[in-house]
Amino acid sequence: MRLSLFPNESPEPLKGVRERASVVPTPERAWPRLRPRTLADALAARDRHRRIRANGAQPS
Amino acid sequence: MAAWPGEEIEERASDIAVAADVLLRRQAAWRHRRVETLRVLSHEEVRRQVSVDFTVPEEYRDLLCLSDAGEHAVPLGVLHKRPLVHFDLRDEEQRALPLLTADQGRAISRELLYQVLDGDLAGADADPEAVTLAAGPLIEAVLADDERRLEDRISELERDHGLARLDEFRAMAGLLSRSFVVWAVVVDIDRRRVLKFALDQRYTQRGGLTFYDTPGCTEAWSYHVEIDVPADVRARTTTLSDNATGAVLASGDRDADRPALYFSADAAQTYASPGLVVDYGAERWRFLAPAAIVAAVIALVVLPPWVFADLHTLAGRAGPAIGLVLSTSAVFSALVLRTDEHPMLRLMLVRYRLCLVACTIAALFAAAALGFQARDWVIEVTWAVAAVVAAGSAGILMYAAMRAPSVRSRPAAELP
Repeated sequence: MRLSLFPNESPEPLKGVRERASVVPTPERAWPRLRPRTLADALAARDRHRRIRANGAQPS
Repeated sequence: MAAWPGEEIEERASDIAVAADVLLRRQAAWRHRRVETLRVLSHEEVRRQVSVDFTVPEEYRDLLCLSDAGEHAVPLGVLHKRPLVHFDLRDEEQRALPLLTADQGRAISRELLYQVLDGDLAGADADPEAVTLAAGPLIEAVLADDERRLEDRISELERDHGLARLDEFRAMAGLLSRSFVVWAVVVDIDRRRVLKFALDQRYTQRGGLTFYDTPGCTEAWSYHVEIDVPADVRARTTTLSDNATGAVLASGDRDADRPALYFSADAAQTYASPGLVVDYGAERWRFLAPAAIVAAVIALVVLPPWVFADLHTLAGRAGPAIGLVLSTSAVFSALVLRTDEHPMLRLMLVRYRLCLVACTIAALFAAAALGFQARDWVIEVTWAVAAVVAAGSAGILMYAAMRAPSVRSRPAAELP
C-alpha cells in the first residue's frame, strides 16, 4: 500500500499506469479483431465443414 | 417426436455459429450502444453493470433461432471461465433472462471454431478437408478447457499441412479455451432491445489511482461509462486510455461526484489494454478541513508555551489547569475522528486520521506531564515531542485539505 501523505500534484503519464494503480479487473474479454465476412461466405463455410466432418466421420 | 432442449441446440448450433461469425466480426454495426456503470461498493468490491443496446439484422434472426417457441440466442459478451459473483441478466422491464448452459455454449463454440478455421483456409493451397479433420481433436481440446500446448499444437497443424499462420483461428482458440460467450435467450428480437448484465468484482484498493479494465469499450458503436462515486468522495480526474500506449480516448469532468465518459471507437483501431483511470479524492469538508483546524489549534496551544514559557514554573502554579485545557483537544478530535462512512473513504483517510490521533495523544501526554508535575526533563521531552508532532500533523492536514476536492475547488490538473 502506498503511504504517501501528500496527494500527487503533477499529472502522471498514462502509459503503464495500470502497473502503478489499484486494478479492478473484469472477467470480460474483448472479441478478437477478425476480418469482416459476408453472410453468404459464412453459410458456404458452414456447408463445407459440415460436409467434410460428415464424410470424415463415416467408416472407411 | 419433439426434440429435448439439449438436442435442439445440437441441431441449430451451426446456424447460430454462422450468424455469430458474421455479427461478432462487425459488432459496431448492430450493437448501438454499450453503457457500463461502475459502482464502488467498498474498497474491495465493485459492481459492474453493463447494458447492451442492439438490433439483430433481419437476415440473421432465423439463424439465431433456438426453438419453435421463438427463443433466440444473442451473444452479449465474452467472460473468463471462473465463478461469477452475483451475476444477473435482465431485460428492459427488469425481468430475469436465461443464459445458454455451458454445454449449449460449447456446441456453438465448436461450430464457431470450424467457421473461423475455414476463413483462415480461404486462399490457402492446403487440402481443406485434411486440415478440417486434423483440427478436430485440437478443437475438442479447446472446448475441454485444455489450453496446454495450444500454441504448439496449432503450430504443428500449420507445419504438417504447409499452412501460413492461422491468425484468426489462433486468436479464437486462445479466447475460447479460457473464456465463454454469454448467450442470452431472448424471445423477441424483431425490434431494438436493451439487455443488462451485472456482476461483482473483487479487488484491492492500494491508494490514489484506480484502473478499471474496460475491454468492452470497442464492442459497440458507442460506449458510455459512468462511475457511481461513494458519498463524500470525488473523482478528481477520470480518463479512458489505452494502458499499452498511454493514448487518451476520452476524459470526464474534473472533481465530479458521478463522472461520465463517452467514446466511439474507430473500427480500424485496436487497443491492447483499454481502461478507465480514476484519481479519487476525499471531499475537503468531510474530514480533512475540520481535522486540520483541530490539529492547528493543538499546535498553537502547545508550540508557543514550549518556546516562550517557563514550563517548570507553570507545572507548580497552573499545571492542572493547563492539563485540563489540553485534554479538551481530545474531545474535539474524537468528534472529528468518527468513522461512520463508506469503507473506501475510510481507507483513503486512514493516514490523516493517524496524524490527528498522534497529535492528540502527544498533547495529552504533554498535559499529563504538566498536570502530574513530572520531573523537569520529562516535561521538557513530552512538550518538545508534542510541539513537533502537532506542528507536523497540522502542516500535513492543512496541505491535504487545501489539495482536496470540494464543490468550490478549482478543477484538478489535467492529465496528459
